Amino acid sequence: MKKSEVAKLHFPRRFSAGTVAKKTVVYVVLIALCLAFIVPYLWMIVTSLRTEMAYNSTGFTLLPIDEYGNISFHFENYSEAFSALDLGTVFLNTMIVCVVNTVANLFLNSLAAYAFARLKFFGRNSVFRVCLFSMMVPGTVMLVPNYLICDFLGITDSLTALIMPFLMSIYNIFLLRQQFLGVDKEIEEAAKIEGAGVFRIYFRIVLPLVKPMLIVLGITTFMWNYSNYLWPYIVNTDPALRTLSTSLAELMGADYDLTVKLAGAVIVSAPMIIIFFVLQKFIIGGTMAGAVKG
Amino acid sequence: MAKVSLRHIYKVYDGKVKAVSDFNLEVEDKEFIVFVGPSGCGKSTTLRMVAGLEEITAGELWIGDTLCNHVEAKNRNISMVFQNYALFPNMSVYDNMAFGLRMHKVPREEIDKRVKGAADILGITEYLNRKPKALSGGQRQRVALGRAIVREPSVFLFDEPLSNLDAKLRAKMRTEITRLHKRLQSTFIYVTHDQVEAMTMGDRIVVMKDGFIQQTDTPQNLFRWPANKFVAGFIGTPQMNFFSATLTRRSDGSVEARTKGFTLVIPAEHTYRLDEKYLGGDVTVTMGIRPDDIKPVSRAAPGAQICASVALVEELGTQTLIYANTDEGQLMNENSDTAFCASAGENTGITAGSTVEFEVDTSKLHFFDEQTELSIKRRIPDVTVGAQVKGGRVFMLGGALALPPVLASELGEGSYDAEIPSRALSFAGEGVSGRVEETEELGKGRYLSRVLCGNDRVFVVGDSPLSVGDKVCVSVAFEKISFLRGREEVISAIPGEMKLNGTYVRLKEGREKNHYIVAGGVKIPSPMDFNQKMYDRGRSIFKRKLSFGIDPAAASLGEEGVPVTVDKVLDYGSAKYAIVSLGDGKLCVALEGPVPADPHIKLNFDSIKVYDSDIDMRLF
Amino acid sequence: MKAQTKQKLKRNATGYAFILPLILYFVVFQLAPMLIALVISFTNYSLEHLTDYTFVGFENFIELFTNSVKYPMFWSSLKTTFFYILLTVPANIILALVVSALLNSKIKGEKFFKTVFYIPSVTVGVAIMVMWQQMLAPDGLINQLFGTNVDFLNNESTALVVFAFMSIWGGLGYNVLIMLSAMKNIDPAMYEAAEIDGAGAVQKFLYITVPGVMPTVFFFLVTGLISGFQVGEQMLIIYGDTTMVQSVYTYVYGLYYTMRRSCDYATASAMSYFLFVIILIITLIQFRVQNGRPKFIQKLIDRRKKGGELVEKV
Repeated sequence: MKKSEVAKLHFPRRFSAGTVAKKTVVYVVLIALCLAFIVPYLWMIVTSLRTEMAYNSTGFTLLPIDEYGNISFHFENYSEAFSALDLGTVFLNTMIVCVVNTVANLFLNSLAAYAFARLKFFGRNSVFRVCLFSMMVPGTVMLVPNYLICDFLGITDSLTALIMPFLMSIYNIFLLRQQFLGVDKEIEEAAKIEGAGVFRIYFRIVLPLVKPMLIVLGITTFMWNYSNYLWPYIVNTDPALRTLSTSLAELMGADYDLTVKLAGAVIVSAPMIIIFFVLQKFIIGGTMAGAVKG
Repeated sequence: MAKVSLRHIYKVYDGKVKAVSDFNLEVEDKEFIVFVGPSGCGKSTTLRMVAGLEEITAGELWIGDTLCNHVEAKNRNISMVFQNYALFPNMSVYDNMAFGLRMHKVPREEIDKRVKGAADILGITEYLNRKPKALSGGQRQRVALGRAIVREPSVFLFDEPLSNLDAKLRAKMRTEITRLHKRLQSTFIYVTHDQVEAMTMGDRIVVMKDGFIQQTDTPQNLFRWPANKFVAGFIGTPQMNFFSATLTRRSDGSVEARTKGFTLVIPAEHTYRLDEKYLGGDVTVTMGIRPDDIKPVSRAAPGAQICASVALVEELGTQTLIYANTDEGQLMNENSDTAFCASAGENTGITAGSTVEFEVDTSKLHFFDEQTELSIKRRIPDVTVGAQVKGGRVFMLGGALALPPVLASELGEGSYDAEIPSRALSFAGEGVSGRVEETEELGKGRYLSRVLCGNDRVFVVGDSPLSVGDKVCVSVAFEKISFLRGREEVISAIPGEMKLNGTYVRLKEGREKNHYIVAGGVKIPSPMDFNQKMYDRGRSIFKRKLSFGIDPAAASLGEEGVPVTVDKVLDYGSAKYAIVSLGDGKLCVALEGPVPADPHIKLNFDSIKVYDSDIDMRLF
Repeated sequence: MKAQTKQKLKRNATGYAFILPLILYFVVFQLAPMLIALVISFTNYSLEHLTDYTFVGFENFIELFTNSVKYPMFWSSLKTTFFYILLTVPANIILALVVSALLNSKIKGEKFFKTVFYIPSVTVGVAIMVMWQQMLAPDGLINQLFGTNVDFLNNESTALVVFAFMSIWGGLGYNVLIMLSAMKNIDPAMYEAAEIDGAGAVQKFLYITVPGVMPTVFFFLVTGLISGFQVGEQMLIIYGDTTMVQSVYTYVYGLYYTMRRSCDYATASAMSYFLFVIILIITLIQFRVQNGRPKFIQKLIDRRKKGGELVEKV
């Protein structure tokens, strides 16, 4: 076989030239976009492990190098941030608020949602609609009014103020009601015939059937509480009642090295991001399920 | 306007799942072809491959004179009508229909002319300004048709377009599409799962199941000559009745068909197409009788009688369906093997619970092999006749024929059964004499004649029409005949193709890269154009297990090539063949001259068929 | 008769028992606050008048709208908010469309990209602000990358733009999730029909994808408007109660100032209600657009359609 002939043999291209070019462009754009999301986080983590002096003396870098160019990890930023944030107390505060609110929220909202879905009572639909419309008032508008009522009730400057105003959420009730409507009625009817009372049917039989939605809503409520800044800032002034967000905001404005501040940001945001990576499926799935109505 | 040609088309997913296998079809220009079959049979997939929406795994697709495997959908000059219409909801009807033309940069006046013309044909001119959501299902379907028409394509493709319409509308649209076909004089390829649609609309129908073509034929032929049990049961409403039966040829020529619930006697003149192998009374076959061929009567002719109790009567207006069972105790069991359905006219006066006598039209019975489900009563059947070998001659078909040398030496004297496929017979040349008993036109210039030769009846296909009573000479091609004794094959016919397993390799030898096919363990160098065809399959071709189909004409014996050993020479007089061993495989080669002393074989790579033996797919 | 009404009573009681928490919550944390705020907005309840507040009628509102000495930033804060909306809403929609379309084409790694884009949505807001504050500093990441020396957050001309950018950056993940699932709902047969008709990728996008996700685009528009009007928390986190940078002074930022700094609860209530009215109007307009136009607008449209010939869209 002549070599020149052999050279002419070629495998078929899977895609035409045009398609390859198009696909490359798509990937390039998407990866560039990804970088815009990854680089800031990387930079934040890396910078939090350096000293301020090192940071000021070097240009752009994504490695935790010191002023001489050696890689060194300065975990003291983190211990400094720890105490600057008063992490012990603050974390405890945040956890109390998050856990109590989430649990209470899920329980009470599902009670109401079940009532709207399955229980017949006078004025059910009107009450639902009224609540639906009125509780769609945006948060910023409710800010001052809620502050006034808390002041009036005397619960300002307390953890209660962080929990109570968010016990019910019409969004959660709406979604849970949707789920309850989808439960097979016959299961409830069978239980009724067996003699179970309404609450028992709700709690022991129907509620477990909507577990996926409960998990998703639980996660989103927990995360919302965790990140909440504005309300704790407005309603609590006692430093002992700071949450992670308010404490971090204080750290932000105080006179600390930027490396310490970034360390603080990492400490505060890391738990949620880790939970996100672990429970990705639920979080992304839940977002899409809830908001597709559009 | 164009022909469409699908040659050995395969669609394989993930290298394993075969959605479409060995699809072969030549669509004539202006023909209305229907692909029909149950869900998942591959009909839509095949249509989409023609459209260019699915990649063709193997095989060739020709539209007109162009090989279209890798041509993009928009350049194939086709139009497609989808099941859910796929109209663009935000555009008006006019814009929907004009869309394709605008994409192809057709001038504005031309677009206007075509759109208005199509709208006129379809009667949707008044809707041109409306949006699809303001139209009913039937109107939307017409818009989808209009969009297809304005492109003036060579081929129209339809993917179950009427499935979303209600029954009445469907019937109306059916006639409209048929009329459209006559008016446009274009090639239509239509996919449906509804056999009624297929039968009423198609010039020819392709029946598919599990990715394979079961039969391609005109509606009438599918109805009268189903190739297998599936086609028989699929075509025709209500469905054909199936029974388990044993067949016995009686001394007077008639065949007795015995089932669990009744026995029929088929007069001799209707048994000539039956494969004799099944008539010994020792094999169970599946017998099919259409409900239209079972009628309730007061007195049935002997041998055509079924006595049964009626389970259910359905009045349909001009037709009555009677569900009966020969075993009264099984009346309520609809899965009983003695139940059947009969069709009658109106006002039968028959009621459930009564006992009725039915008459069967014994000329319209169908029979299928119980295992393979293939029809054993074919339109062009193969026949098995008795043959006596004596003194270098064979006495069969009422005549004496000289035995070709190879048979003379192999067959000892005595009686045999000769299996004669219809392709072994022709009117050309010397042979036995016979008299034409029946003729049939097969279309496309082919004619089928039933010839009585001696005491045997054979079926011969010729290209000129004959008349009943003509005396003809039937010649026999011995290389296509097998001789059996008892059930065992003594001499078999020359195989059309022999397969050798192997692979395709590329070896570096010295400074060169050489390509070989390895068949039967032997390396055979392959020419460049063959190599390119292999390369076209992609890098994986070197890793696949292949088999090579080599028919006798694809190889030649001579001094050059790959060394082989000759096992046997088959001299059929007019043609000679040699069975050779190539490595650990065997081939049948047509011989041109005498056998060379040092035999080598040269393969004609242009005629070799290459198969992927793992998934049984023909590559080319 | 009696048994029936007894049963009915029991049913109602049970139902209400279940929604009792909701009712209580509604009264205490929705109804009461709104009423109290409404009443207070007509008084002069503030730090100076904690006990001796009096009814002043619409004075608070009038002062807000007219007194440019007492409230110099009122109208400019509305303009700033408006400007912010103009920066974010179209950008959000277009970006979501483009990125979703890219992800929707047959590429690998869709899940990976979706996850990466979604990370900011699960990052604590304050932490994101800390991150950006340092990145946007004169010696921060952004300046390092471009070799410039701009103090983005304190520069009048760049500050608002930068906040818009941060918001778009943070919102992309969520927006893409919604938009992408809407895109996947489009009947693939339409793309195939267009493919056969000869449409290229861009044409398919413009004629099928975009019209197909119009409801979602509308959803983004409305929610973008509503949350756009409430922008202010980011500025609060970065600058605190007061800022020297005038170009980031949004309406809600002014609200925070009034609440925290001047403790003028009456005016803050008035401002809250004004915001409420604005958002209510947007919501009503949305409702109308979705459920039909008022009659007179419909007549105008019909008249125009009848007059013209077939309008061609290319």
